[in-house]
Amino acid sequence: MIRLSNIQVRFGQVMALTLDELELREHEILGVAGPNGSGKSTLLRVLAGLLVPTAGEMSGLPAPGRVVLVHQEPYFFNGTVRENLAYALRLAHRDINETAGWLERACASHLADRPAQVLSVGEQRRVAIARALAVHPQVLLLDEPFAGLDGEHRKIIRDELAIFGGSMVVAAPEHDHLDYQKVLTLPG
Amino acid sequence: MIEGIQAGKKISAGRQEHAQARCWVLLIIFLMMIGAGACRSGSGQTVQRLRLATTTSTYNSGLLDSLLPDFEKRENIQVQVLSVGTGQALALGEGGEVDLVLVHAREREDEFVARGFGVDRRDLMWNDFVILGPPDDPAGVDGSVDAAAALARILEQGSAFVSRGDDSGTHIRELQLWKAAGIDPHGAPGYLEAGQGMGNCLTIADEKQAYLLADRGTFLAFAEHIDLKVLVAGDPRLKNSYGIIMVNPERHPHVASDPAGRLMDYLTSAAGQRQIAAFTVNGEQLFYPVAGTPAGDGL
Amino acid sequence: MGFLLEGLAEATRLIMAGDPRTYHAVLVSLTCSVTAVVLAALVAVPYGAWMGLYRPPAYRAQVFALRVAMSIPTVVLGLLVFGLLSRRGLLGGMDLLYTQVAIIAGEFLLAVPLLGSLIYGATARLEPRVVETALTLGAGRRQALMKVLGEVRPALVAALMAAFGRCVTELGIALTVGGNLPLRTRTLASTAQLELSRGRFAAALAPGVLLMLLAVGATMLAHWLERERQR
Repeated sequence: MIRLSNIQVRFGQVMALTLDELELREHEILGVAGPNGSGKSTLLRVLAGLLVPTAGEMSGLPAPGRVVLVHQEPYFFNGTVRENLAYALRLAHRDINETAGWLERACASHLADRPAQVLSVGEQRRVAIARALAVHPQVLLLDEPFAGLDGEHRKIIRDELAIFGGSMVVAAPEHDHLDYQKVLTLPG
Repeated sequence: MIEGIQAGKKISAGRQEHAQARCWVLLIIFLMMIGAGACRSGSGQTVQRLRLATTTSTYNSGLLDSLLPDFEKRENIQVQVLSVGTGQALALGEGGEVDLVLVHAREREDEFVARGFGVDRRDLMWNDFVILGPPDDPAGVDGSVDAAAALARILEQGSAFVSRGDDSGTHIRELQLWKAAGIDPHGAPGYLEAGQGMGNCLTIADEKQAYLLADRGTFLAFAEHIDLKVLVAGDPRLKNSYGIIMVNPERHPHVASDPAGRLMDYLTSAAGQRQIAAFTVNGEQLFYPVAGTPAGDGL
Repeated sequence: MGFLLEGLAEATRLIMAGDPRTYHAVLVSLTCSVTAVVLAALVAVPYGAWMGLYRPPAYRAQVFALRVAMSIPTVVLGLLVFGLLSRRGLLGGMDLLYTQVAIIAGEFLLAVPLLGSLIYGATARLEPRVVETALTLGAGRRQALMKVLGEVRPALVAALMAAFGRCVTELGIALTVGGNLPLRTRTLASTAQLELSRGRFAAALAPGVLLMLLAVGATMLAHWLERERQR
């Protein structure tokens, strides 16, 4: 179980995030709501181990690679979609042949040999989620995964996530796209 | 800002990319080995190595390039010649970086030996300095045989004069002449201290159509390119004597005293002196052998 | 003006005749500069990238030091190496003065600040998401750094070319610690300087022409490397 308490993240003079308490159990899905600038992305970065808070205590955080963050605008490395997936699989010491399976789940088999950096937003999101799932993390962190997507894309992503058994933290302004067990609202 | 919990994945991802990188690394290593080979080439086991520091004007005359190859072949000695300023040549001798020093600044050479840095100083050859100037000779020194007086007149007339200003043999001689004339040229309008080698100074003087003191050898090499004439020559004080000194082996035990001695013996022998006299540039003799050289009896 | 044309003619003649001293100067220049840049890259590229991506403590002071070091004149660098390698220096016993190794050491010191600063600039400019993606997928910091360097390959190649150009044209180091010994430590740049000081203006242009050919070759190599990547 992950527990954060009395978290403060300060960048210079600006207080980016204030959080009293957060608990995340195994298999739990936590939604994080709040206006722009309330620190949703910052919280995800802290959970991902990419950012050390200026103050506060944390326990139970898995190592990076066991907790994966999917950015709102995911980044892909130079190369094809297939190559990007293969990179993740290699990092996790998984069989590269799993690439095909993950591409299918993301409904992206037809994109396999496309340069990953020219994909549309919707395509990037679902491939990025597949990439994150491919390393079999304990915790999946999603930064506004549904923003700007049409109904069809939202369905594909929801289906992708449905098979994931670990815990999830999803930052989203409206909380109506996933079955959250808990919702945490950050003040503005 | 990235910090935090240990990741600990050891096996590297991206093996394909590493394979390509490996090819490049191998190619580079190969190149380096060639380089190292080129480095070591010649510093072989049977050939003795000798380092000689001399002045740029001496080296640029081409005398050594013409004389040394035969000597090297005959004696199986590799001579590395460093062409630097007079001050630097003597400093290298002091530090033991070279085995022999060949310069043309008698006072500095005597001091070098007196302070224990060098042994067995020998006269090697001589040539002369000349005072060059614009063909129209505004200061009117053409034909003078009194170098000091000529310099004084140049300064008096306010003409431009380019000085080496770099502590070289030429520069030292120039300062001696000013002293003989009883003048301190520093600060005088028209007195330019270039702080550069003879070739550059000739070019500067040519551009400015100024006077300067030069060794005849370098002047001959540049004569075609510049519009300056020999105006003053023949003054005994313009005689430029070269001395060769062995770096003191007692001070620097690693000095290659045997090959150094053999080179000194050769250069001061009758045969060597003949070769020196026979060396010409554009048909003109550059260096004159020293009369009455002592028989070579190196250390 | 006339001597420029004479110079080109003389340069062509020397190159065609395969003058050994001229060609050996090419070899010396290439060997020293390539080795120095490669060694410098092994140190400076990861170092610059580490500072650009991970901003370790005191990184600002280090970047500042790198940038200042870029302005050190080559003569000063040559003197530093001279002090180290001369008889009285720390490494005097190794007899490395007036060898190509000495020139490589000096050019290494020349290339490191340049490469470090340029790579720092290239990586510091990147959005955080780039390195974060690698890290979050489970790459260690070193792995992530190597992956990110692959993403800035054009900047990396440009930096290497800049460092190579700086090294192959420098004079202060080659003269001070190389000794300008023919067929041994005489580079293209120091050949040009020597011929110039001898008044042989035309002969001084030949190494200059060769240097330019080297530069053309290096640039072509750089472009080919970039195109390889995009395939």
